[in-house]
Amino acid sequence: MLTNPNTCGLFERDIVTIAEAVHEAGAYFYCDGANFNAIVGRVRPGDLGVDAMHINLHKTFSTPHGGGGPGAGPVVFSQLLAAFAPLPLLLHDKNGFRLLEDPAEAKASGVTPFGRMCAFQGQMGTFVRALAYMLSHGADGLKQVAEDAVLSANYILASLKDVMSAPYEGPCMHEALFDDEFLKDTGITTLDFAKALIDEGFHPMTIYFPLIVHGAMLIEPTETESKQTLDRYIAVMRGLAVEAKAGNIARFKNAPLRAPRRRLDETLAARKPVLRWKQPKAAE
Amino acid sequence: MLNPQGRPTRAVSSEATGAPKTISGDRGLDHDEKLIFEIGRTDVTGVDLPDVVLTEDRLGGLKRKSIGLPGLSEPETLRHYVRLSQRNASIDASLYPLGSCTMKHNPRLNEKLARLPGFADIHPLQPQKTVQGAFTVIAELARWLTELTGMPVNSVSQRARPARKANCAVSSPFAPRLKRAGNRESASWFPNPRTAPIPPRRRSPASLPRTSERGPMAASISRHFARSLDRTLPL
Repeated sequence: MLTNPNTCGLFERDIVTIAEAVHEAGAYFYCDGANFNAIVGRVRPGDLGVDAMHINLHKTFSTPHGGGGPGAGPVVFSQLLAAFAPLPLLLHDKNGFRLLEDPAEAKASGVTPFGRMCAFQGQMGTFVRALAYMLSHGADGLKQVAEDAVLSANYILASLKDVMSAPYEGPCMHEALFDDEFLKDTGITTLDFAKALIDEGFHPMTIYFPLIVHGAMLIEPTETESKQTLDRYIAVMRGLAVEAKAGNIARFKNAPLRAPRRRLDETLAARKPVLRWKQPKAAE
Repeated sequence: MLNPQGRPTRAVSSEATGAPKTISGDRGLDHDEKLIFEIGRTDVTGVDLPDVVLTEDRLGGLKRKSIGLPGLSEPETLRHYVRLSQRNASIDASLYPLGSCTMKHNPRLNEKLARLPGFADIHPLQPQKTVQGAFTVIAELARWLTELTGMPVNSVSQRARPARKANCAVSSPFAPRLKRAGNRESASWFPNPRTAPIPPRRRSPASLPRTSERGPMAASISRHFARSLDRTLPL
């Protein structure tokens, strides 16, 4: 299994060689389509030797993901695995569409599905949204989605490189990745830096992920943010980086000051979560 | 309650500006909303329900006097949830740089189309001939995914080889539980990719419509979904 572009926001250049080596070893090559947003319309995973890949519709095709769902991740298969795709199959004949759900009928028509999906036909509402996104962009527009997403991330990376620190040389794909090298000896951590962003009115970026980068800050603006919005964000990030280096520790350690709640005890919340409301004794 | 660093968990903006502490506990129009259990009363409801027709009680000793559900009037209910929603940090309120991995802008056109009754009000168990439009959408989505990935079969819904038509297996992603179709067989079930002949990949450019070829965008999308909708009947 491989994610391409990977979680550091970099394109895996040796992917065809890797696919050939996997096949040579008698195995199949699974790709995580999590970062398809960066290559949609530009690169076809099938051409890279991938045998199976899921496509998170929310990641690439703009379906909602707030609150965790509803998720939908169609899976694509290569020619080699095609005959094993799970039931039901959607067939089209002179009478229109119908679902092939009977394993015996599938076998008779020459396919050998390895099982049947339990979740009916999937998330219809999510399918409609994803198709609406595709139709409103067209083939050319989807290509531009990937271009704009990559351009936005590189704009952020290039604009902040001199005041922050990037762990990898060169341009990125759809995510700009920084580490905490620029905070060295300031006493300020990546967490403090992220909390200070809340006071500035921005949701913090992904922090401490990927795990292989120390104090990672992963910023993904996607294709939809305007240059004006990106410029405002960059100005705030630059300002905070300068403040941090100037030793203005208080605004970071005390952040957030302007949120509905101050910094919470995340360890206690994780170890002793309060999941159920109990009636206070006095009210009983 | 204080956390180990000794920081208060409440915002201190009013103290910072020298404003007096409010009687209500709210900070101006920035309301500090409590849990619904803390503001609701168990003896009120925003809905008038008809009196229960008296029947023989078959619950034995299991019947509870009160189940303690919080009740609110209609405006109180609205205010509670509107205030909570305003507490949400969201991509609709500000830049949310978690990106496509977690949170990407949801175009409102998508929402409008997903709410069309022919898609929103159908049920997966209604007769297949009444959801032909929904199947059209699934097949069209499958075609786009197939072209964009260069991989022939796709499990939104997949076309069976012999039929040589729209090719998709309709299956949902984050619910990958499978019922076994037959006996669990060994790995030899699948062809060995080392020895199996790899079919030539089609390298032709994707044959998907461009925006410029589809005429005015909104009109063309409406037409597409209207055609699909004509063949889907809500329950």
